[in-house]
Amino acid sequence: MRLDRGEVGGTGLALLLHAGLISALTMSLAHVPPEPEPPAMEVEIVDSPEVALTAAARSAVAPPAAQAPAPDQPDVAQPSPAPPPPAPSPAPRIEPTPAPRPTPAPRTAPPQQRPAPTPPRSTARPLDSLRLPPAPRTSRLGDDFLAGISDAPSRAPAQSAATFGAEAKASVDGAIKRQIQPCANRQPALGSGAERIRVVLNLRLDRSGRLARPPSVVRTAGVDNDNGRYEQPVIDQAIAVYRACSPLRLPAELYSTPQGGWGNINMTYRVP
Amino acid sequence: MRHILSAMAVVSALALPVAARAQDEPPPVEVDIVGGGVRTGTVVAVPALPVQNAPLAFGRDIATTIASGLRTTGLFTPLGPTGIPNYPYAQANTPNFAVWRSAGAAQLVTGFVQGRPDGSLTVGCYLFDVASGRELVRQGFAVTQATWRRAANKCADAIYSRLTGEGAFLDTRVVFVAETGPKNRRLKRIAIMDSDGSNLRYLTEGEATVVTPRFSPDGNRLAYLSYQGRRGRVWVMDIGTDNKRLLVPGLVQTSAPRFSPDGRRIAFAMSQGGNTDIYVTAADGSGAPMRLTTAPGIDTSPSFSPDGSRIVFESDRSGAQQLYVMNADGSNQRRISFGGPSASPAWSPRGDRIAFVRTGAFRIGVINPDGSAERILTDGWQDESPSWAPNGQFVMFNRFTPSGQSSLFAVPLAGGQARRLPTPQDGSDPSWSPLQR
Amino acid sequence: MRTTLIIAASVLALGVAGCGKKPAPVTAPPAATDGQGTVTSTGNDDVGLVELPGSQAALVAAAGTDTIFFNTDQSDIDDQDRAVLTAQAKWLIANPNVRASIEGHADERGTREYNQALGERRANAAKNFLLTQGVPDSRLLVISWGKERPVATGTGEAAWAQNRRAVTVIVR
Repeated sequence: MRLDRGEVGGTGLALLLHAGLISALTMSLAHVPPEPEPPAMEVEIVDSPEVALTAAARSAVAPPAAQAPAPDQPDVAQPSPAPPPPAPSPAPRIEPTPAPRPTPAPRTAPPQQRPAPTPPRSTARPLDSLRLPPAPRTSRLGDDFLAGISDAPSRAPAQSAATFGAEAKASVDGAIKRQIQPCANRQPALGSGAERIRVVLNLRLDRSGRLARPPSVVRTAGVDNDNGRYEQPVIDQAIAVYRACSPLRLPAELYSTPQGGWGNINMTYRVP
Repeated sequence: MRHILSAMAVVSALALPVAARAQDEPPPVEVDIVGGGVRTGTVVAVPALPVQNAPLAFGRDIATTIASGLRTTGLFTPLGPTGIPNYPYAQANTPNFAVWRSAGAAQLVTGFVQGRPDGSLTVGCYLFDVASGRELVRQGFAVTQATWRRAANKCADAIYSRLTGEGAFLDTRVVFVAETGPKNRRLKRIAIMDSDGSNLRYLTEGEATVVTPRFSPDGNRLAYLSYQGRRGRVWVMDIGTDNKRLLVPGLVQTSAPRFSPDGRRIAFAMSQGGNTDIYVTAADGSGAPMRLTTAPGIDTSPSFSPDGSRIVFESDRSGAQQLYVMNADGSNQRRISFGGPSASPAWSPRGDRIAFVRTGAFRIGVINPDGSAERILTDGWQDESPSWAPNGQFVMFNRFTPSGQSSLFAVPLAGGQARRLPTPQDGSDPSWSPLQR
Repeated sequence: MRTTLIIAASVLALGVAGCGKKPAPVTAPPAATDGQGTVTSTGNDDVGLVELPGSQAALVAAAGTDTIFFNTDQSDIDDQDRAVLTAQAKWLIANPNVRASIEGHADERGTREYNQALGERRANAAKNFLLTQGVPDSRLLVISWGKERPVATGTGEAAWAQNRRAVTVIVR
């Protein structure tokens, strides 16, 4: 078959128009500003019992105005295993090294298997991993958190000539307590059995009374099967107590002496 | 020999700075601090969540639901979402703590709602300790627009759990009997709702009087007592399919059903010849019921321990209603209540307490499974039918008034004010579901 | 001979009607009512009781009442109850073509599950006495309403005393 002039011209024009359309689309797509990404986190898919119930056509309460009317409920996936959150687990982990906040690694770790004896109502959906540009560290932890931090290995700060005798120790102890206790007084009650737990927090302060590095949990005591779930809240309260009442204002000459100083404090915290 | 000496020299040279460092570090100052144990609410700010690609109302509604969930625990004083500053989507996890410090908030809840192309929502939530700026909770959930409340309740649960150490309990449902009408012509229907009163629907239409509905451990079935056919018998209903069947076929009168923790058995009471005893049978109806008690008199209201190995029940074999514990095969029956007549026991899902009704005064109390540490929690005119939250921290019950009104209430195990659950009509015989999946 | 045959046939028919446990179904359709009115459920897992108001009135006329009462948490039949039940038994024996559903009740001032059992105990106590008066066991049914069917709606001992009762309900 041979094409005549009309057909060739028409085809060529069509091709030209198509090319023009494609390039126009491509270029205009390129101009769409990227949407701000939502914050990064692991996402759990939540199953909906309402799907099956709606299908059974029961008398129902009208949905609130905020919900879009959806006569055919989408089949919602079986909940996927929970993300590993920085929450207390049955055996709470104490981090002996300073850890100001959860590291980014848990966000993308493979999901932990949750025991799920019931058969899924519908097919599982993969986890979504949503990303935000990581926040600057300082804004999450308080403006003064990293002031004075140093990566140098631990060295005793320059010591003053003052001695840290019993009287000086008592007065420093009293001063620290006076300044911290108001924040401790505000801490909420926990369940019965939590009062057996003692958390020892090591606080390394700079001379302005601020934390030189994140507080570290030296040890916890009194944790047993009955009160284990309170260990993390007690740790949280101990940290919050100091942070809410810092910086401490204490005598400069007792910051660091050969016998010790308030630059290095072990705070033992418990709930009443 | 020379090699040994030089090795020792090297080792001591390395050790010297360590030793010197150790000598440089005097022991820390030791300070003992005791917390306040404050029982008034921790102030938690819950601003409206920013929303993308979905109606803005979701952000407000989710924040409102989180705030009310936290308020019902009795442990928090939520701020907002109305009347407090909002924040933009991009700052969901980088809040301005100074604002919240000056508002007096100890804790801050932030998050976001993102509409997805298929119409579903992704809801994220964070919890920050305001004083330290630490992020304590980070959770995300994918839900349909119709089930946004699940995300809000799971967020509130994560926040509550992190701050108290207790298990979750807000993402749950309640099944109960909705009642209307005069005392002698009461219309009773089985109703199911979220534990905050939302999403109420009826599962029966009142064609027969129904009482004491109880959830199965997987939340998919109910066992209840119906007077259908002019005799009280236990029925088992599949919530999803509406299928109902008699637990024990035939005409024998059965009552007081409770599922075992593995969902495979149902313990119940059977009445015949003037005697009521406790039996257990397969929940799927297979096999024959096994009799557990034989004492003359009334043995009823069985409730399994959370490990399924024991059953607490009430018996009047001593002359008055008292609590007894036995092994799940009926052996080793022993009385545990000695503080006054006691009935309607319910074993906590944590296993550490048994809730019951102190008859006579009709108050809800708790007792340890060994019978120690009895404590009365409520003070209504007639409080009955205790049912535990899945975290063992709250007991739901129904409260009658002399005029015949009946409402659902919940009281914390730690004691304190009982809080009413909103229902459109009167309600009785509540049963708290396990945590939803 | 014919009379004998007729009597024998009637006795046979009544005997067949009186016994017969219906097979248990897998599921049951909802009941139209559960005994408030005269229509009973349609499923075959039911007793199939039909109230007979005319006969009920006759029983009350003959025995004075169809109800006996109990003390709190008790199921004892006292002398007054015995007198009533004796008269009821006489009427039942004289009217062999009906049955009686003895229905036990408790007052609201008790826990629900115990009261369900207590109602059965009370009804059973009444039935046992009727048996001693010669009423055949096959004509007597026992059910409990627990505290679900009070007749007195007030609050206080006067109302509660009226609700602690066993009622002899004449049924087909």
